[in-house]
Amino acid sequence: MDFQWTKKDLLSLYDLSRDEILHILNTAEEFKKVSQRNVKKVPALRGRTVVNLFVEPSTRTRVSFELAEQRLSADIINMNADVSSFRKGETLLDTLKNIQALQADIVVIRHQATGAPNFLARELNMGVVNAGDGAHSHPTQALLDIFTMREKKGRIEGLNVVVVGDILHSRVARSNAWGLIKLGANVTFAGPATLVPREFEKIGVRVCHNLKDALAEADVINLLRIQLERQQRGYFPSLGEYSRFFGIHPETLRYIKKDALIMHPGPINRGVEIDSAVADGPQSVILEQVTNGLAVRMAVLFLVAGALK
Amino acid sequence: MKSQLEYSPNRRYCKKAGLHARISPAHGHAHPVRPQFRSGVAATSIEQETTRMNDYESEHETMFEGDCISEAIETISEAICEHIANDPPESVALIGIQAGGVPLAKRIARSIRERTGREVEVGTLDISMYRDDIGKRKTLPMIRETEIPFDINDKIIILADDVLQSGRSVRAALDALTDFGRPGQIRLAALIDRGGREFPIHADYVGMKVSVGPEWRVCMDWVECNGTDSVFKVKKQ
Repeated sequence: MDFQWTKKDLLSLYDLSRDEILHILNTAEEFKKVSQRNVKKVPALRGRTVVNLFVEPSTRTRVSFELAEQRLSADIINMNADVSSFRKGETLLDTLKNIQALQADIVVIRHQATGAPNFLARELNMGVVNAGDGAHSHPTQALLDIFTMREKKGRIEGLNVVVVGDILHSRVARSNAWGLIKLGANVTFAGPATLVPREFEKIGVRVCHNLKDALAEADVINLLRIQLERQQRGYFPSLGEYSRFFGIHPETLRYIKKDALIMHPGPINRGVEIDSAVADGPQSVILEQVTNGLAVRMAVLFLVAGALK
Repeated sequence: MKSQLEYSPNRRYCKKAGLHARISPAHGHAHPVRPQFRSGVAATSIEQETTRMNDYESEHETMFEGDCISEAIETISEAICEHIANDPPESVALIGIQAGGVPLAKRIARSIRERTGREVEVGTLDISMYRDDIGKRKTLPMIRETEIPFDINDKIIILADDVLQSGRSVRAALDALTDFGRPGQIRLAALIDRGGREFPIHADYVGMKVSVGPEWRVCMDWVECNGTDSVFKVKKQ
């Protein structure tokens, strides 16, 4: 009857069972209540040390993890790409073995290289939490997306979830698909053909290159940020053209379900993938995603800490 | 050490820990695997769980059933009624410690209502985030709902737990509860007091006192959760 979490790492939703994903979501529900109390801090990770190693820069994810750690009473070390050890040529593994020798317990890592967290998890006794690796995986983002969908819609099974944008380079899209499919949702990837190859059908998602068709039955629309720096690579002719064909505008709201949720992992490019009127409108749950992200990260750190021996 | 490795459900970790332990002298790591988490002493000092154990293969024996348990609840309720007779009804509330204390709190509230007509509010408190043994346990307990639908400030709060042993759960519950406010008083009701305190904690209302050796874990089933009321002991592995 009792589900027991045994993983010392959170690497990808691909590795998790349906029950494990549900266990994180259920645990996060209780952590969400902690942040609504007068005293927003619990002593669960007192005496534990968490290292935030953001080799690839990040603001919102790092702040969310850091606050989650503080609210769990952990001790925190923050490191980023310009720390001197990397400049001096030390390898990632050596840096972390040094941190491990200082008896740190958990490392939260973001890295541009796919698989970096998996490699560290094999090599280290510390718990490893993936905060995004390359275009591979971003499990806490997908968990907070799924948490928000479940909270708002009351279920995941049978939901039509459409992820729109640069799917090809998106760890958020992949992580969403792995988690949502395991929980019984119908997932559609939509965007220009250059950014949404048909290959994705192999993991069980519907691929759609016409936004109107994609959104007709959508219960949830998860928009991805168009990375402006990719524009030079020629995946689409111009930002204006992308926005016209795949952006969400007030007119778009006329042909989608009235209760469809509009989500975005941030940061938003207003006027590109989403207009301000939609981002700030009643169907948007973008800021609730941020609130839920804190609860999900507290739950993940708590579970991982509990599985460390 | 071998038996602990076999017991742990995290096989991948164990394999790696074993490997690391072998290669560590060459690497010169002082503590490749934190040794304090492997101590057998920690396992025996953990307060028993009220949740059903997954593993019933070890020896277990029923101690009390049915009416015997109802009578013990009546003993507690009677003492509480006497104690709170002069306090205004809204100044008293019951909070059950998850999981076994919750049915106890609800039944005490029902009994108080039947005896005096007083409605006593009931809340639930999960103490997982306040435990002092996270990482020392083989597995983390599941977090259950904390629901305190009333203001606890200045109230007389009666904490309810099914089995009282070391007092560590109660210590955690006191920390958790004081994060919600500043009660006027906190009292403790325990259905079973089996002795073996590790903290200076004393129950104000006790249903039954039993004497059980330290090699036993005392657990409870409730009609509400498991379909039957029973107190039983399980031999620790």
